[in-house]
Amino acid sequence: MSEQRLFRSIYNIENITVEYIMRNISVKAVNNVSINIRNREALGIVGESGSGKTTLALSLLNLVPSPGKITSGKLIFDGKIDVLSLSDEELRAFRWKQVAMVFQGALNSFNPVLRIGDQMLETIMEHEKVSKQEALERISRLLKLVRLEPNRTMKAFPHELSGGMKQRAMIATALLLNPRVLILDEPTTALDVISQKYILSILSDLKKKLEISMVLLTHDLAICTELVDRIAVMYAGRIVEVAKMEDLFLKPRHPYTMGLLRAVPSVVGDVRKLEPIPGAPPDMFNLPSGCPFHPRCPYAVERCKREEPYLEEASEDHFVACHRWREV
Amino acid sequence: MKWIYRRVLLALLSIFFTVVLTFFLIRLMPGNPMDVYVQMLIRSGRARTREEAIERAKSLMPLNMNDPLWKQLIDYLLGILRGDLGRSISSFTPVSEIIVKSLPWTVFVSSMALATSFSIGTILGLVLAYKRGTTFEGFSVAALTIFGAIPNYIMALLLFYLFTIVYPIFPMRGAYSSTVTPGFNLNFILSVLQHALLPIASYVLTDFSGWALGIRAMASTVLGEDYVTVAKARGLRESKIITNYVGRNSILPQFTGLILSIGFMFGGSPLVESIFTYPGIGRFFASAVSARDYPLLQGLFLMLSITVILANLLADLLYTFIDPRVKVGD
Amino acid sequence: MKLNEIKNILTILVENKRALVGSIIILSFIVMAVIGPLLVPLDLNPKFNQVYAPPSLAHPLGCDYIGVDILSEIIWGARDVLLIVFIAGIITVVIGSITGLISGYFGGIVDLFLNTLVDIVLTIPGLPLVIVLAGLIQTRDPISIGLILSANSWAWLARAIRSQVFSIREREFIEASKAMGIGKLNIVFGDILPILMPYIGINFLFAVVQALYASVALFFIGVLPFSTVHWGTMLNIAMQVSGAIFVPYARHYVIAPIIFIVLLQVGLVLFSYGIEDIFNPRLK
Ligand SMILES: Nc1ncnc2c1ncn2[C@@H]1O[C@H](COP(=O)(O)OP(=O)(O)O)[C@@H](O)[C@H]1O
Ligand code: SF4
Ligand SMILES: [Mg+2]
Repeated sequence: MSEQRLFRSIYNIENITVEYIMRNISVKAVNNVSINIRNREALGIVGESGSGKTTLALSLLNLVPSPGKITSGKLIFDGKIDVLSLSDEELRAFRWKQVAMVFQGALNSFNPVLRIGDQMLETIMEHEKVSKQEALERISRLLKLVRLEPNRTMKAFPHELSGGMKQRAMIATALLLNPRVLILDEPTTALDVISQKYILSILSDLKKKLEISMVLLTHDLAICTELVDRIAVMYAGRIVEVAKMEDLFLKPRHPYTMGLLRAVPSVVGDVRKLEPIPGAPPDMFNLPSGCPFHPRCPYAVERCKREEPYLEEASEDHFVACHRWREV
Repeated sequence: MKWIYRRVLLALLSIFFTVVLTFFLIRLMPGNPMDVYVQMLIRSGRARTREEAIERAKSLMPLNMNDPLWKQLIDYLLGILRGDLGRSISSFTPVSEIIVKSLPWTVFVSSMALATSFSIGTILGLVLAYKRGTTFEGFSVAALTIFGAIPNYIMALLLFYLFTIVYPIFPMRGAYSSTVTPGFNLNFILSVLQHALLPIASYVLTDFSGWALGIRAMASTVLGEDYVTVAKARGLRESKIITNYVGRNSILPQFTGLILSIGFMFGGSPLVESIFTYPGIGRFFASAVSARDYPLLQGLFLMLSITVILANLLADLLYTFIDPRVKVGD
Repeated sequence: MKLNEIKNILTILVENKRALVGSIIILSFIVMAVIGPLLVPLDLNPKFNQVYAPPSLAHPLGCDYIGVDILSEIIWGARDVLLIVFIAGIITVVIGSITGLISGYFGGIVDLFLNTLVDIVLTIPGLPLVIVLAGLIQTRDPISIGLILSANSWAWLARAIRSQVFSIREREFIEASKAMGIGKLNIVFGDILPILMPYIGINFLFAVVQALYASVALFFIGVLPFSTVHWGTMLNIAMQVSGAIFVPYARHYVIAPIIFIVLLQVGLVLFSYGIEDIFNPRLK
């Protein structure tokens, strides 16, 4: 119980639906998603590519690019800020100050014609009234925190840094305003193995040192193990299971999660026993009826084709959206 | 650094090539220019006897036509190095003097036109990129495409016809009125602007659409780049995103176009300047062609080409300083 | 061409409005140039009773400074205008493609030489070069005029084709042809050229646009003695020779060639952009 209070929720996501509306077709990339991001926790959101992770993350900043639109739901930050009804200026102040995000493929996150230092500096200056000196000191400190050499990095243009260095510079940039929530979208994809390990160790480091909630979006369950407290599993724009990390790994309740776990080398242990999930990822333009996982699910029954399952609490702090969680 | 040397070398090579080209163009043309002069001098009565005409023609040409070709070429090159380009056969003025007098007007009109059309085009292009998909955008793009298709000298003709003859608002000829004294005084400056306005407008009205469409296409791409989304996520002000993010990144690639348009404007100057009887290098060029004034033609063509070559070189070098991604050595 | 292909082309044209409008304009001009002279006689004899006659049923565009029907001049002029730009476009495309193909495929010293030549030619301002050449050569032959008009436009195409070839020649099937011992020239013209045909086609249109700009200019400043009814010549006479610009009731005469020149230029530009959209859909 005391742990519950410590992990009071900082960002409540309530029934958010995001649609990309194109000329003759629309895709519900995020479908009625509810989840609370808790204070100082590290939340992993895991799902195949195309499951709606990035779209969900962008909606947390109310920054879904056109033709996307948040068509329903509520976003309540810190129990009082209704993010979807902020004015443009309020929204501008909210972004990065409260919720910052390291984008997927941070390789293109910096403006190629401005120096890294200038982009970091303007981020502070656009939000706070501090002296330039103070701002520069803060930038230096954060660059050191992500193990970059401050003077060199600040003077560099983006193309002069390696992929891993850019990623770290972006993490430092995300921390500039000391945000309450830091979203990391596939922070290790597109990096070589050594840079991946390095980023992960920096992130664990940050988690220990800073009072911050982290949301880690990834298609790779394995990288969650080192970092996160809780995991939400996404499938076809829906959250199908949420649980504490150990709980999810030891007692997965959703057939999709089970499938995912059987496909992770470090979890299975023996590479020869790896089993990919049968069937193809869902076609978002043309989702199956009922439970969207039913064509691939070994436990599917008639009901699964007709009725969509919603999240239910299966055990304490462990939610699952499956008609048959009691049996599987 | 190696890239710069290569680029400078290419410019020098181009200049040399142009010099040789102008030499041979005129030397190897059907109808030896010498004979043409002699004929002309006799017919126009400027020389009474054939001998006198030949003497006269020799003094106008920078060369001795009886020397072997290679010697003539070397003499010609040496002459250029000394700034001696011969004399115009219609006005007997040294060609170099005509160039010194006329080049500044052309540079003035071209640079004003370039700056104006580039600024208007940039702003319009950015606006259009932001209004992507609206009826306003569709309509503007169609209008701009049509405007851009009009040749600059046709625009000049229309403006000339409309505003100096049908509605005589602007002066018909010259670079400034004969009633003002050249120098740094208000009347002179006003008169210069009044005379230059229509020529400048001819270029601007036909060029700004190209910039606008180019910037729009570029900005539409840039608007979809991650770094713009990140800038929004970082809570930067919209004005800052438009200028430093979308603007800068869409304008930089236009520099190559800027280089080309310098050449294009200079290239169009013989027509536009002739229409307004504007005393720039282009107008003298056009009249040298019709008068078959070979030394003048040779000198002016050389000058037009060299200016364009040097402008291109300058713009190329500047670009490497402006865009950090263009690494020296690429 | 099969019925199917014609249908495809029509569907594409209807979907791309720029190409549609452009092709309608161009087609009308071609029809005018080909069939027009058969229907409308050109009588250049002065008729002083109808000098600057305003537009009427008998003379839809009015008459010029010696009383010649303007519409018939425009129609006969269209033939000269189109013939010249067509020839110039072909010459530009042929020289440019061959240079580009050779430069790009052979590489090495051949490429260094050709590429430097292209770079140099590109720095020489185009229109002045064309003016000098036209002024000096004084030809009436459309093919020579076409050559003059291509004096430096071929270099653009050569540069573009060269970089296209650079990317194509690394593709697998070219490697396969090489491995089979097929000669270089055969590869260039048998394998690479066909791939580039659409690209060359688009550039033909751009070359025609460029040639129209330059050729009208040449006739307008009077350096080419080719045709009395070329629209550029008409402009030259209206603006500089006859003094019609100063005659208030001769406005139709001054404006007529301008309108047709602009219309054709707009048609060509719309069509070439439209075709470029179709083959190279960068921006949807
Ligand atoms: N800009 C867009 N326009 C249209 N559809 C999009 C766009 N971005 C994403 N989508 C659709 O939304 C779904 C989810 O995409 P995304 O949020 O990027 O998933 P993830 O980050 O998990 O890979 C995908 O099926 C994709 O087709
Ligand atoms: S609801 Fe049915 S189909 Fe869906 S996961 Fe559960 S058992 Fe499988
Ligand atoms: Mg993603």
